[in-house]
Amino acid sequence: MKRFIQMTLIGLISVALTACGGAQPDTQNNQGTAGKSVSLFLDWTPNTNHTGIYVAKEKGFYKDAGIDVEVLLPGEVSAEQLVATGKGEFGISFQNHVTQARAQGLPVVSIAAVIQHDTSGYASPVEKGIESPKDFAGKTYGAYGSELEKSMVNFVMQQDGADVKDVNIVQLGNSDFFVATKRDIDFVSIFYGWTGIEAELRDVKLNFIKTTDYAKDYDVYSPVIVTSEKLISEDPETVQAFVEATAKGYQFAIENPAEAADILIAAEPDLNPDLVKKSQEWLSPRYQDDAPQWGIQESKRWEAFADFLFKEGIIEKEVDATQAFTNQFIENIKK
Amino acid sequence: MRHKFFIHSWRPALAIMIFIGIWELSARIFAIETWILPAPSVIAAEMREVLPAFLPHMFSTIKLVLIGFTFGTTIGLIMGTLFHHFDRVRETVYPFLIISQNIPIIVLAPLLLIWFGLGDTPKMIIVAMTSFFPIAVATLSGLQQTDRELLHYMKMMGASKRQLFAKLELPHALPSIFSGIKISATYSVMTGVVAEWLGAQKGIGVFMTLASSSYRTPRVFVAIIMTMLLSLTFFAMIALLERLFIRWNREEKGA
Amino acid sequence: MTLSLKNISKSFGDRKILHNISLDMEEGEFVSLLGPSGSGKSTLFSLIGGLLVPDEGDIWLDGQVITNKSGHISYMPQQPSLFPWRTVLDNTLLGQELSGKKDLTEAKRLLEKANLGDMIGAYPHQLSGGMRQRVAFIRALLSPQPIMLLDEPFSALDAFTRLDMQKWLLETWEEYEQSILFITHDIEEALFLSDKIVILSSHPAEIKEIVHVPFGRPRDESLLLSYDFLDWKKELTEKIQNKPQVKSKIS
Repeated sequence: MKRFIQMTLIGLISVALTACGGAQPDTQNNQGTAGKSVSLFLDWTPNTNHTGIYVAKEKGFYKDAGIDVEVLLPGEVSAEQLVATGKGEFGISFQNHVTQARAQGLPVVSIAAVIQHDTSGYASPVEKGIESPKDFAGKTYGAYGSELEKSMVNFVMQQDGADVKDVNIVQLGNSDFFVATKRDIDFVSIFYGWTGIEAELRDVKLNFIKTTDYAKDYDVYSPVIVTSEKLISEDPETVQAFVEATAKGYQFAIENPAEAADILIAAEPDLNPDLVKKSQEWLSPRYQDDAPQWGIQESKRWEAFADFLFKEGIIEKEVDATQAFTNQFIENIKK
Repeated sequence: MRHKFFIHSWRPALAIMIFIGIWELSARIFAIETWILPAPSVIAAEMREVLPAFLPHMFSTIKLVLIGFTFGTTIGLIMGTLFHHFDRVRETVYPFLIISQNIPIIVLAPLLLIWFGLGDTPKMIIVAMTSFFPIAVATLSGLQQTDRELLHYMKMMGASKRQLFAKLELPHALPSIFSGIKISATYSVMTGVVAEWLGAQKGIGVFMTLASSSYRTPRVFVAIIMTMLLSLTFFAMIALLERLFIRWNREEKGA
Repeated sequence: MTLSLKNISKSFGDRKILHNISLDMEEGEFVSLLGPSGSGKSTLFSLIGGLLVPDEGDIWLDGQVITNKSGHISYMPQQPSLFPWRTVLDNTLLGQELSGKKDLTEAKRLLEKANLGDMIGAYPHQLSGGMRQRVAFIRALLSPQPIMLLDEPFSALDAFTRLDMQKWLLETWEEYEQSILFITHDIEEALFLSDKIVILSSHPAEIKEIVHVPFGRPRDESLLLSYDFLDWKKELTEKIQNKPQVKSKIS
């Protein structure tokens, strides 16, 4: 009997703890508007997608705006989950992640697009002879673990008159592009700005098929900066401050790629400096690209992609695209 | 014997049911988000829906684990025996075995990938590598603890080394060996799932990755629960095998 | 088959355990080694069994030297030493498995005779001490070797069981007639069972005297209470204790 009571108590306590952790997100302590502490969770390891943030930190843009930003790695938990539960104020995410997360009920909102146009594509060593999507047939695709990859590959192939059923899909997990493509993997989806540049450095010749060449309606914002609905409604001033300072940081990186690269290298010494410099040169002009302002997002792109996910059965609920993102903070930046 | 099992298992069964009950109640009362901690009812609904899609993944993992585990057990038994008979082999190789158990899979993964590609082989190797060690240790330990009196009897009767091993040392070591096998079996399913994160087409690990990348927490729980059930089943099978092999022990302990 | 020990001596370090042990055994003879506990009798067995090498002397079996060679004798240790994972029947067959051919019928017959017929499929832990000793004896008996070495097999039993076992041993043995070398520290037991008693001193063990037991076979329980028997017991006891004898029946 005693054991029952013990086990019951343990069960009760553990569930209650989880409940408490979930139901009341703990926001960082507010030390007044001066020097408010916020945390930002990266999506992955630091790279040139994040340069503007490091610049804003180094150059004191955040400090001037009255906030103190701590940059954190998410570990095994996704940045979206951390932001949604209030463990962090901001996070780096992607349009497809945000859409899927919102379909499952996570209240995350995209507040700025870091890079205006999708820089991803399907890369393969030239020896594999994959020059267009119809060449995917009969080959092996190394997936990074998302349900939507199959649909995307299929869509792209269909534009070229082929079908994904002829592709062998293998989940790569943590395996690195160069190691994987040495053996059984033929092509992988990569962001050119990082892995593509690395290939250039290593003198590995690649065939790169840009996703948006075949799927221009699905030009997804990758990456984006997200926050929680709660923070937007309860403390929009902090969000505004953050977005403004970050925009300044990216602006600097657009105009001064070399110096921005040095800032990133200094802040994250484990990175390969050659890669950072070359990547930054390639990426800087693309942050804002052809948009009127850095960070602006278009409704029709969010809607089109949400429809695509719904049609493909990757999400079961329709996502109201207008709730998934907002330009309010970008547009309020004082000129 | 069978109804004894049911008599003994009502306690943990009841505890589990109470636990699930509390979980369900708390989820409703505290309105916990499904993507944080889904209620058992939500998980059950998800399981019903996703089971047909899940089964092929599960069978893939089962196959991988069984093959890897069998391989590992065989190596473990052979190694334990070799170590028992050849002191110098034991002294030389044993430290390397211990080191091998401490290499993180993350370090090993790219190497295995390069050598063996992305088929089932590297994953089976990982399962084999983690399962053989407890068995080698248990086998060696069991063989070294042969009853002195029985050993004396056999030697006085002029038993050859082979007779000594087959008729005395091995049967005497069986309880110890089975302990090792049970430990190994319990961890092998989880190891298989982790190994799938190296790179796989199908498997519970793949299913989990896809589910968590889509923030489908109920599905992740389905995978977790099924993994636990698989481990339990595996353990139970080994325990059953043990009962078959070690009949004499059973009655002594009044089990 | 005759066993001969010639001038066996054995030391461990500088402790001499056995000194100049010489002994001849005839075929079918029952010889007891009588001496206090710890007098090196088990060491002697290990030497005969080939597990140890004597410092001096040799062991002969039927004209062949078997010093340091194993497999020539059948053994019944002090503890029954049955294999717990084998049934009673399989345990009795163990000796034959090691160096001969298995004879299930004979094994079953002996077990029946020993009143263990319905325990044939049982496991050792289900048997009493006396039953286990009987199984161990049958195992030794069934083994193909011509000589049996029994190391104080009944010393752990209570007096009642011991007597039963002694009677049973004689009965069963009389059918087989192998030579038996029997270690004991019990004078009555030695007198009741043996043809010959080798009296050993200790530290180191030396043969004090070899005594021929005059009683005929088959031996009956009533012998134990006869005047003759008690006289012999008294004399042996005095011999062992080095007391001067008044009357000697031995010559």
